[in-house]
Amino acid sequence: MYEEQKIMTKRALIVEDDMILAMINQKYLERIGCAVLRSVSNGLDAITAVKELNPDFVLMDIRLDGEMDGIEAMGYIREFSNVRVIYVSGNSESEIKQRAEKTNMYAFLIKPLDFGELKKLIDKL
Amino acid sequence: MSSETGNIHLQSEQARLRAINLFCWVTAACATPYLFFLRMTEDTRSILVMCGIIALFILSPILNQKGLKTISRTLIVFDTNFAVLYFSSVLGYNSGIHLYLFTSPLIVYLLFDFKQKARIILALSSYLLTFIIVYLQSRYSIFPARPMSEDFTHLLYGINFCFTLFLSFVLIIYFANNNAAYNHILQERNEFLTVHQSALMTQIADRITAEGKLRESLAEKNILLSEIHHRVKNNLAVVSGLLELQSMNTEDEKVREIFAESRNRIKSLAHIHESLYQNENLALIRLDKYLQRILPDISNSYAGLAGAVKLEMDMEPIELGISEAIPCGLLMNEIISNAYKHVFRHKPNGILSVELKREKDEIYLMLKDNGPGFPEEKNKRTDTLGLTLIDAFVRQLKGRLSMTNESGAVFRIWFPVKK
Repeated sequence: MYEEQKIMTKRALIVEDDMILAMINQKYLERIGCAVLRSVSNGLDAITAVKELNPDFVLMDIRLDGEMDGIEAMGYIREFSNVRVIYVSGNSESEIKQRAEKTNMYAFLIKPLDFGELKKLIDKL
Repeated sequence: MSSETGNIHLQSEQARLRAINLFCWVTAACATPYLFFLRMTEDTRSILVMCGIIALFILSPILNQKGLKTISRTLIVFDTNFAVLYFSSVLGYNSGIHLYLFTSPLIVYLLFDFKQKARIILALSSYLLTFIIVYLQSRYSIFPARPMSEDFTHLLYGINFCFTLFLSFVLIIYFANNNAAYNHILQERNEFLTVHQSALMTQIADRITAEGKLRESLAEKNILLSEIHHRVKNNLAVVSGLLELQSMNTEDEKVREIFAESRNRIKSLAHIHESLYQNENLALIRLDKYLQRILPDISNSYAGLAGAVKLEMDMEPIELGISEAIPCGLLMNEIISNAYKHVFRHKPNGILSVELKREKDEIYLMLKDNGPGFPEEKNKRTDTLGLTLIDAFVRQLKGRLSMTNESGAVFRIWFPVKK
């Protein structure tokens, strides 16, 4: 219970094009005490949501709906926000990781998500 | 077409030999009437010499047939030179025997290929030398000619002139015919090549187009395949996430552990798909790299033990197809999970040794922990789901499994490589 109280203040934005995964991630984050402000499925909505809601962290999928991927969207977000970003990808290729690192990422996780690891990362925020 | 060319063109050795033989027979035939003239002079020696010259002309084709081509040609050059030299001396310069020397360039062209420059120069020089000797001989009367009547000399000159013309004409006609036939063949060949070239150009263009389409199609298929692997992985992530959410509903550690084991199995499958779509060849997976990927995940799922286990890896770079990679990946997941669950959880300094290598047509995989080993009772060995699965995966791989106690539990698996 103490753990849940501790991270109660963490406000999250979920960017995920797979609705079921988005729902699962949302449920998990809520279970561990985070407040999920919004869940969006494309880069443009992600930029708008960060502007409007100013979350504590973004759980960002890399492959998204539309032409913009998660890393590109984060590039635009960096122009006005230092929000922490935890990338979630089905692909751990070094090229993608290198691109992600350029956006001052907080963490890079691979699907299927290791929720234990995610919780540790959120605790450290 | 090439054999047709070979039969006609003088460049063909066979055609040249046939032409030389024909020349010999014609020359011998032309020389025969001279025997009657010589008989009129009652010069027995000259008759015998003429017989010898005719015999040599007949001998040349025989030598050609025996394969003695150089001797045959040398003999013709010698024969023609000697005939002019001898009969010019005997019958006199005015008899016109030397007129036969005008045919010498044609004879040389008949006998030798243009590439044989030394032979051509030598033969032409011999004819020139013969003419010089004949001229000097006549000018200074070194060997006086047999006295003959003026009428007979005129007749002989006329005959020699006509025969020279006839011989030249025959040779020129022969060469002209040869050239015409050869040109005709060349023209036909050119037409044939032009038609084929055009057909080939069309074929090349078609192939380039087809190759382009194939490349596009292959690229599309690779993208699709990559997309499928991605989707499969996403679906596995959904199942894994649902299991995680469900496991959070229970406080029972045993139940949570069961959920964690199931999630590890799903992750092992997901890693295989990820490795496949990251690989350039979408159908193969590097087993050693895959193993390095799943180990931290399994370790993390048994929280608190990560980092406490020392890994000793000796793995060759081995690639497997998807049908082998999936059971093999799940098999390794079960064995390693087994080691974490039963050994490393209770042992602070755990050691996990992995060996992977190729042995002829088989893959050899060995996994060993430093725990207490398998229970002695045989029945206890296979009554867990983990061991049952290990057994099933080995059977799917059509492999062999050995489980022994060697200062810890040792799994050895051999399975054939599909070609």
